[in-house]
Amino acid sequence: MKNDRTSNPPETSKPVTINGKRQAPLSFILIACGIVVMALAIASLCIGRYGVDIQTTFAILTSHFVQGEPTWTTNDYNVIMNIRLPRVCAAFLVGAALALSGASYQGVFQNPLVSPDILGVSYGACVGAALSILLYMNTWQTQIFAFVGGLITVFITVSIPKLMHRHSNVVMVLSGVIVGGFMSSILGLMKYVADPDTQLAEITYWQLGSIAKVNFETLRYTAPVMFLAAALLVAMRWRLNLISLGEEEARALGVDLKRERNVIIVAATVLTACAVSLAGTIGWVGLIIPHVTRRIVGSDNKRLIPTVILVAAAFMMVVDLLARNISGFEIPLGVLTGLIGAPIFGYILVKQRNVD
Amino acid sequence: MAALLEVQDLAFRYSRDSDVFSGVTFSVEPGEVFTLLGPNGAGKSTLLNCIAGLAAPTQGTVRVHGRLIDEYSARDLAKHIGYVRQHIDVTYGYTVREYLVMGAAPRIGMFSTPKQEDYDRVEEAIADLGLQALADRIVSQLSGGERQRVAVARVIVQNPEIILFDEPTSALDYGNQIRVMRTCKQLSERGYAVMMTTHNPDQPILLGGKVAMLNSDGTLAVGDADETLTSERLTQLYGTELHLVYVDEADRVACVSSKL
Repeated sequence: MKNDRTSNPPETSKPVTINGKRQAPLSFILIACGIVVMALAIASLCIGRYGVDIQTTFAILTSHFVQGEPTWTTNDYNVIMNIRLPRVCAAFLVGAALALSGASYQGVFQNPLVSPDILGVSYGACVGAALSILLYMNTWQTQIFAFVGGLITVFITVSIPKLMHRHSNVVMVLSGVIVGGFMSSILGLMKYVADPDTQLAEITYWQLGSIAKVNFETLRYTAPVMFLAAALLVAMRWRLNLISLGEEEARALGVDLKRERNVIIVAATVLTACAVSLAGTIGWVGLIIPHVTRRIVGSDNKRLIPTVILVAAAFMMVVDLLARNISGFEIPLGVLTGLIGAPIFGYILVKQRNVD
Repeated sequence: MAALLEVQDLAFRYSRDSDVFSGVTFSVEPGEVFTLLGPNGAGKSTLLNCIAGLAAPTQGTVRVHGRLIDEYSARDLAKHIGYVRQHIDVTYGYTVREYLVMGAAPRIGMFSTPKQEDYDRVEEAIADLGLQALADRIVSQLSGGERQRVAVARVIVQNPEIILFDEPTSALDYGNQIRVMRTCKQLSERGYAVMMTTHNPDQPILLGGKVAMLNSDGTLAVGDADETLTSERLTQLYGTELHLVYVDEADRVACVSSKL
């Protein structure tokens, strides 16, 4: 040992290695994921019941910047610019938002089993959105109602273990099940009193999860809020490591726990609420994508958080492509994420020895 | 000049009638080893939590450099006081390196991540404690003794002035107990003020420095370990007959009990 409390350390820089296995640099992983997301975005634009070839798609996408004679029909243009492009953007945003909030909740509650849907946040946001539909409100107001619904739910879910003086992961999950079940019943009540010709269909659409109706007008309100909340969580990604050590450890390391935890919970709830206001309730993404990504980049949130955004975006685009193309009618996204997500999570649980 | 750490008339109670401890007064200086010795339930860990600012005492004050710890922000206090807990439980699969760099948290802002100099300090701590073989392993997969060494390395990365160890040897085999105490001694020689809780009277004898014997009524005695620890006081503290005897082979005094 050195005999000096403030001696100069040696100049070294180590690549990330976990249990002897050297990990790829984060920049390489992000670039690779970025390429996959771009490829999927182009595939999503071209593939569908109305096929558009790749050259025409590129020509349409660049038509605002490159002058020239149009080589496409009005239908091509409308399908790409007004239907599929907003849909691709929504798939990116919704997937990224759900997984980013899931990873953040998992860090902040020190619980790898929580996610926006398991904490009941998605159901609370859905109740808020349904209430705004019942009250004939606009997109912006729906978003606020979804956010308030989500925030109230997360507050109740977190309060139950505190009231019980039991802070185990299982109690937190049970609390989420209780609150989610309660919110689900309120949603059922709202559907019961909703106008069957207009409101009921819209509320059911929220519940099943779909991005078919998203357009640039809805994105214009929602996307900036999502970017802000996501930027905050990305900026605080390393703090999630500290907070995930537990209350006393984090405080002993100088973390202003109350403030930092509240900022992260609010930002994650805003993201979930925005995702719900865009696409309704889409389960499993917030739970499985952080787990899958941990197997790629490890548990360090400094690497996990940026990667989770791209992996979730890619996953959501694949799900949306399947939803639109595997049958004659469009399958709700929430149904597909459950069909894909549940077996994946089961596999991870069996494989992963360190899950609490 | 104010002492590095000053504890004055400290008391803590959970309910109105039962004091966990009361009237605890002592001070700690840089480079000193200070052992809090007491039986189970004497409130040693609670006292350490009060000093670290993690529990609010019912009465009394804790000062660092003459300033009340309540006047420090959490981040500033962590620059002065580091805490090595009894059990190190990590929910996620952080590697030892990822865990160690968290020690740099008091020097890193809310929206920042560790810099190269923080990772350099991690490498220094790994070299210091000979943790090279563990550096890439997952903390939650390490044994109790290995985790304890990793926790010590993290507090070296944190580089506070005072290091609090809460029963660092309670879950360790005898060899690891001695190694942890050797590390505590070496840290004090480097200039850190080291405070440690234990229920084993041999440990303050081995460590030397100061000792506070803590029973449920508050401090029984505070002072230099070689003067303060007596057979009578230890017998009174633990409620069983204990003797301090000189062991020629070890060239030191040891605490032994009477025949069962």
